[in-house]
Formats: sequence, structure tokens, C-alpha cells
Amino acid sequence: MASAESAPGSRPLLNGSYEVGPFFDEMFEKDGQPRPHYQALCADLAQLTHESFDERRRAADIFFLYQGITFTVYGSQEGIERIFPFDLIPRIIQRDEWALLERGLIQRVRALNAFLQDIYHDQKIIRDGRIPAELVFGAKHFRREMVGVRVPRNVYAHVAGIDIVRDKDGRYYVLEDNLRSPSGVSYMLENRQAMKRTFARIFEHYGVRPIEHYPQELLNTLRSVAPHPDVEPTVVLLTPGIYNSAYFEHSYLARQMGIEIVEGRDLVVHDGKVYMRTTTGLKQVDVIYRRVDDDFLDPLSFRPDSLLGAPGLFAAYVMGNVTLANAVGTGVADDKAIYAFVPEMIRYYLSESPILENVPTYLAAREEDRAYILDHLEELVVKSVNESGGYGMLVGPHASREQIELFRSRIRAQPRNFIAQPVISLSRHPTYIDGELRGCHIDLRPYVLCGERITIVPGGLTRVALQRGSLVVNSSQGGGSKDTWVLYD
Amino acid sequence: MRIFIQHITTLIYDSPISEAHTEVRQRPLDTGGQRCLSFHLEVRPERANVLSFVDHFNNTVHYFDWLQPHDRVVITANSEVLTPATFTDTCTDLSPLERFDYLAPTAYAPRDEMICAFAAPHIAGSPYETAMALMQAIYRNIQYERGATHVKTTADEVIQLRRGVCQDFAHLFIATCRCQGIPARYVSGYLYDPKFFGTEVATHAWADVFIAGHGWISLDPTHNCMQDERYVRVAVGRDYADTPPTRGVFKGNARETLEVRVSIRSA
Repeated sequence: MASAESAPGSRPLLNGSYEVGPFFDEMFEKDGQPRPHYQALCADLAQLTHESFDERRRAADIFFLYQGITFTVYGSQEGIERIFPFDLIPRIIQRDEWALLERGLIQRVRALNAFLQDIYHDQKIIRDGRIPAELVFGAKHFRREMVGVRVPRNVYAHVAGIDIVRDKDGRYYVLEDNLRSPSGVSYMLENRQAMKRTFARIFEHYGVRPIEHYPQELLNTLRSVAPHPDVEPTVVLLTPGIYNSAYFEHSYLARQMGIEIVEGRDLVVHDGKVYMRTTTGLKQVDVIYRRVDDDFLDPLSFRPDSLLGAPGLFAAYVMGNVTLANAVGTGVADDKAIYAFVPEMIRYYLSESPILENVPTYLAAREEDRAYILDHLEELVVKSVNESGGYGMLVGPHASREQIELFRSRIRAQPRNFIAQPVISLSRHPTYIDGELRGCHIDLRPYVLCGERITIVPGGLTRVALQRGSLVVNSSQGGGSKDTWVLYD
Repeated sequence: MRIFIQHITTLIYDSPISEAHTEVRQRPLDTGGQRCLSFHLEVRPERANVLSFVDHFNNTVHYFDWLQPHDRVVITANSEVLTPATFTDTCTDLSPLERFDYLAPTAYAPRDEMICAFAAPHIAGSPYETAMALMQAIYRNIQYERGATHVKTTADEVIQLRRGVCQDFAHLFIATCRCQGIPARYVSGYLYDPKFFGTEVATHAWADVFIAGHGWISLDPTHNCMQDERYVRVAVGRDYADTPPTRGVFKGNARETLEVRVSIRSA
């Protein structure tokens, strides 16, 4: 890699020591030459010294600190709130590649919504033997209370976060569908702000497609699924409260959309309609962008001990007086065992072939798959089907003997709860760590909005595994993020 | 048979509650040859607005809220029902979800060694004969006794106690049928028996079993008989938890006392 002319006494950022390694590198070819769509960025970075880069980094950190962009890590003794680590080197996606991803994502979300509509009504896909009944009805997040309930425009997953990775050969795969309350979109938006502030000149000349309209698109989506299309709908965001790991995002999005953020206790259901308590009395609510799990929405219908929802909310929903986004019961479609059937859903409901591939998946619930999994634990990634955020998983090649044996007994005890996949050698991206550029594994979570139509702001959240060699990019597991640039051309 | 039912539920709180939301499942079904000729639900405080919807088992749910502070709610349901001489069901096949739900173990009707061991000696040549044999076995082995069990008693506990009421008989029957691969569902309703009077006798629970080729058959293990014209069906589900006559939540630190009075007569 070419190193830049630099002022005496300062070290150039691109100094030729970066190792591409045996992975697909987003920025560099195998021979160390920058890929065409990264050439301009490399040229600009070559102008920078460590000193000037560090200066911008500090400016970005201060920006994040002042914005209060944090997340909470669960499972540690004391509640830890951290600043989401941000890397200043952007990830760039070419126009054509994005066009393909976009088509693939739209196709996938259409199929997932068709699946949800089907299993909560006629269950044709099961009657036709394309997916086992036990897998669907036995899923933890299947909500039989939703059977026969009509939802506006037949949309269930209004906001979907689809996790996409690239393998060694640069091929894109869908790793997971997140259809309950996918989080992280506030980081996507804030990363862009930070980039614009710290690398204004580079950014302006690059022809990057904007993403700032996401909150407006989200609001349009939510309004388009209001129960009574002729009335100007009142939309609110329902949060579990300030102790939730994503509370920052909830308040951020509500502010950006110009809607109220409410907790369960701010809502009251009366005569089958939902109201929020305001200083001027009760105001009817039409659409709730809820970031509260199904279980906690309504103590009358779901967990009776929940204080996070509003009693009677589900009855109001069933009677069609309020829209919940995402719908109740979407979690069945992001169950990791159901994931294996998404390509089948695309063929079944849309009569199309899948544009984006799935990662090959073994279901421990199937006897022959289970035998294979138990024989190859050292090579596989094992995931528990209902967990998200990188919790409850085993990365075979990096696991200790004890961890492997623990998962072996767990899989034997509850096969329905586990799937396994080959380790995907996630693509890497140069990332600035401890004063040098290192190749770190990344993924991509685009946010797909589905209402009257499907919209995706270009790009999404690129997450980075900051721990050396780590393949886990979740923020709760020590991951960070980058700005994602989708180019006009 | 034409049957009239009056079901009065009184909820009393020892200190005022507010924001109470209540679901009522008391409207007789219009299935299996039964017809609900009229149904009136009256609620006090009387300004409460009663709404209704149909749940995923096709039971009618009446629902109301009362937000102001109160310490007493009275729910009066008056039904007039025409019952068939025998339960006649035209359903010939279960939906995939029904097949799953009515075979899966539940909290009240679990599948464990004790349940399966209880069922094992009664396996007969056909699912129909097995179901009849299980009904008879439960009728013979479990003593009907009020107060021996409570509303949360599960089928495995019933085997140990060897005593119980209709809800317990129904749960044990369902659990044993399911562990033999026979889909079974819980039925809640009323039984009109001119020989007996009183609420405990009038509210009743039994079970339906699904036999391929026959459809649903309705059996009462408490009395070792098939559902006949004296039975009024109100709600069905996987177990009692899907069919409670009333269910509610409220705000306030109060103890709830529930009083139920049912009177039933025939024209």
C-alpha cells in the first residue's frame, strides 16, 4: 500500500503495515491495492498523519459524549453504561452492490410479512407441508392470541433489522432477521453526524447518499398503518423506561419524529380505545411504535406481573382501535430455527428465487442435523433460537472444552432451542485501534421500513468486532460501529 | 332442551381500586347443535361500557373497564339456550394449530411419567375406545370431593390426591388423552340437573376429544357420560386458563373477594 508524503516528525496514517489477512477485506484487494470505490478515500487518508487523525477522533468522541449516546450492558454486576465505540474510517458500498442488497431485502421482508399473515390466518404453508407445524407453533414468540386478528395493510413487521455479512469470497449472506424491536438505528444516524463534522471535506466530495430522512420515513410508515386512514393519526413511542438498554435511542427517535415518548403508566385504555395522559387531559392514540416486548404489553392478556404496558391494550388492538408496530407475534418469524425456512417462504409466497442467500443452518430439532451438530461442535457456531444480541451462543473454534460440553448437554436437553451454522469468516474492514489500522470483522444491519410501501434508507448500521480476532459484532459483546456510505455512483 | 341461566359474579375489594379491566367469558356458544337464544350482560357500576370480541378459540369475550375508584363490581349474565340431545359436531379435520394445541401439554394438563403411567393400562384397540376407557378409569379412581383441590391444581396433583372437582377430572382426562395422542380440549359451561341445586353443581367443566372419522366427541369424566341435553357449552380452550368466566387486572393495593351465584332452570 502506498504511503503518503508527510510533514517531518509526524507518522502517516497509511504506512504500509496494514495486513489484509486471509479474509475478504472491504477496502483492499489481496495485493494491498485499494478497491476502486475506496481509492478516493485512501488518497484522502494518505494526506493524514496520526496526529491529525487522533485530533478528529477526539472531536468525534466529544460529540458522542455530549449527545449522550450510550448503551447499557446486561448481565454485569452493576449497570454499566458505555459510550458506543465509533470508528472514523467509513465503510463504503458501491451503487450496484447496494441495488442488489436493496432488492434482496425488500423481497425478504415481503416474504416475512406474508408468512406472518399466513400463520396467523390460514396457515397454508403448514398445511402444504413446507414448514413443520411444531417449529412454528412451538416457537417461544408465536402468539396464538393473534390468530384471526386483522392488522392494517396486513403488515406485521413494520421495522425490520436484517443482519447481513460477507464471507471470505465477498459474497453477501443474511445472518439474522430482527423483527421485534431491532435497535441501533440511532447509532447509524449519529455516526453520520459525527462523520460530517469531523471529515466534512472528504464527505462532501464523495457522493454519499443521505440517510438523515430515516425518522421522517419511519413516521410516514407508522402513519400509513393507522387504524382509520381518514383521520390525522396520533403516533407515540412506547418505551420500557430509562433503564432499558436502548432508552437513548427511544428518546432520540421520538424527538426526531416529533412525537411523544410514553411509558405504560402514561397510557390508559378506556372503552377499547387507547389514550395518553397529557397536561390537558386524555388524548387518543392511534399508532404505538412500541419498543416493549409482547410479554409486557398488557397484563390482562400477557404477563400479569408486567408494569411496562397498559391493561386492555391488547383488547383495543384486537378491536382494531390502535395499531402496534411491530405487530404482536412477529417474533415467531425471527426465531433462528424459522430463519432456515425464509428462502422457502420467498419461493412459496412470492414465486421468486431468493436474491440474498441464507447461511447454511442445521436445526438441532431435526435428528440428522442434531447428530451432525454434536459431532462438529468445534467447527460450528451454535445459537439459541430465541436470544438476540449475541447472548447464548457458542463459537466452536474459539470455545473452551468446558463451553463445548456445556452446549452439548444443552442441545441434548432442548434441541428445539438450538441451531448451528458454519463459522462465517466475516469480511474485515480497516479500523483505527490503538494508533494503527487493523482489519476488524464487520457486518451490516439495514433497517427496512414496511407500511404502505417498503423503504430502506441507503446503508444501515455497520457493526465492528473490536476485540482482536472476534467475530461477534453486537454492542453488548464489545462491538463498535462505523458510518456506512452508499454511493450515488 | 331450553335452559335459562343466571350467573351473578360479585367482586368485592377491601379498599378502593381503580383502572380495573375485566374480561368475561360467559356467553353460551353457538356450536355443536347448541343455540344461544339470548344473552344479556349487566355490569355495575352501570355506566361501564361493555364491548365484545371473539378470541382465537372462537369464544365470545365481553370486556369492560372502570377507571374511577370503586370497591365493588357486580356482573350479571342472563342466558337462554337451546341444547341438542347430543353434541353433534360437523368438524371433520383439525387445523394445524388445533392439532398442535390440543395435543401439547399445558400447565394444568402436563405430560409426565405419572400421567402416562396412569393412562397406560387403559389403552384400547382404537382411540375412541381408549378415550372411553380413560373416562371410566378417571370416574372410578378419582373421588369427587369439594375443597380437596383449588383453582390452580394440576392433573398430576389430582392423581396423587385421588380427589377433586369437575375441573380436575377434566384436566386429568385431557392430559391422559393427549399423552395417548388423542387431541383433547377443555370445555367450560353449565350442567342442568333437576336433582341438584346450587352454584357448585351448575357451573361445570368437561372435555372434548377428537377422533379421526368421528370428529369431536364430548365426554364428561365427572359423571362418566357423554354430553347430553343438560349440558350448556360456554367456552373451550387448551385448559382452564383459556376459559375463565372472569379475569381482570386493577390498580390498587386491595384484596379481592369473589362471590359467584348461578341459578339454572329449564322451560
